Amino acid sequence: MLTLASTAGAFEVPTLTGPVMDQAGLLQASTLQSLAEDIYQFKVKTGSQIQVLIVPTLGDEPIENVTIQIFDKWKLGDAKKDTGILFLVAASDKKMRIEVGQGLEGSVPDVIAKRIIVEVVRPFFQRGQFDIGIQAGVASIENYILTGDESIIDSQENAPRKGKIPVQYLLFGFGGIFILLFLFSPALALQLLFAILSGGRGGGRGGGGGWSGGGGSSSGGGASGDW
Amino acid sequence: MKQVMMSVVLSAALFFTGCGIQSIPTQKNDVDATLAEVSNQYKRRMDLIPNLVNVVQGYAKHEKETLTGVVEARAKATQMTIDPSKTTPEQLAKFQQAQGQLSSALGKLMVITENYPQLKADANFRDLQAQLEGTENRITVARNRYIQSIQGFNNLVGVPPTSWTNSILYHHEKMPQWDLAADEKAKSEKAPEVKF
Repeated sequence: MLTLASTAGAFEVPTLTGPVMDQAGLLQASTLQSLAEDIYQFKVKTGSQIQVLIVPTLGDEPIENVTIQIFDKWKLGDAKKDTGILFLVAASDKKMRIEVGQGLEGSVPDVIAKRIIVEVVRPFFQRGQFDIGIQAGVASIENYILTGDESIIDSQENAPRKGKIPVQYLLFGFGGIFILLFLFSPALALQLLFAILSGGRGGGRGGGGGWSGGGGSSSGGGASGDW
Repeated sequence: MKQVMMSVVLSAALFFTGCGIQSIPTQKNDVDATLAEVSNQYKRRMDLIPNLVNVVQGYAKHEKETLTGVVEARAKATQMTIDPSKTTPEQLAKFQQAQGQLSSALGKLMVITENYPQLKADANFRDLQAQLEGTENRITVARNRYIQSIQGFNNLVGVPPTSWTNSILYHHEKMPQWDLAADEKAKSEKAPEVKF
């Protein structure tokens, strides 16, 4: 499918392993740990997923191509709200980019992303203070998300209330839904059937402490810069 | 008996999943949606231009020709709108051409801004430049997604077994691919990207 994106393949998207991935060895271990903890807490609190990735080089690709590839693969942020944000730093190219998921474009518009890069992060990077630079960058991203669009912050109040429904109704309902599903989307119905039949051994997604994308996407918003 | 039922159900399901009865209309919708996104992002760019022209005008009054070029190209592009669900190849080509001319005019404008240090230091201009860069990138992303979507649609319509379903039920034609060569041509007229 990607054959049209001419130079695809020059940059290999790594596997997502945690909120802060430093493949260039730019950060101190302590910074890495505290930042990861901070980002994890922020995701639990707000539902917004910030991701830091530091790579040695981009290859020959424009940084905008690389961030969209990563975003497409990692699917950062919530699937419905698209509340993911990627902060990519290419150490030897001296380039960085903040790629903003669609749901956060209101809180972190291009202009803000550009200001964070130019006014917050770049001055530190120019002095070689990468730890502070990245921490400051992430802190201001968080700040803009918190003070920006309120509607994206998860609220627990909207959980639906459940009344009691007789079991046989439930069974009929379930059967009916399944038949409908089968008519409209056989593939999905089959998947569901197999999932139920093979139930038990699959289990859900990784338990507490796991870090993965939630299905979010970006439409290319954000800003790039260098130092 | 149970096994017979099971196999009938399974083979029917496989038949329906593979034949395109569902995937062809789905993909058609996807093509429309991705084209709508392309047109949205181009519109977003057009919305930025009046402010940009104003700011540049304040510092670079002598560049009348370039500024008029941008204003005129924008006016032409504004007239050329598309309705994603019923777009003809000709309309699409015209739309693309109008936007290409606007890209090239904008490119020229961004080049001359290099000669005006005060303009480049203007906070307003910097913000607009950041927005313009972001929007250009969004256009690229939207365009790539549209191209991929069309490719998927043309495969469904042109490659068996889904093409059989198409010729029996839907009668869709293959869609013309977005002309990347034309975009490249517009780009080559555009000077190197502006960094500050």
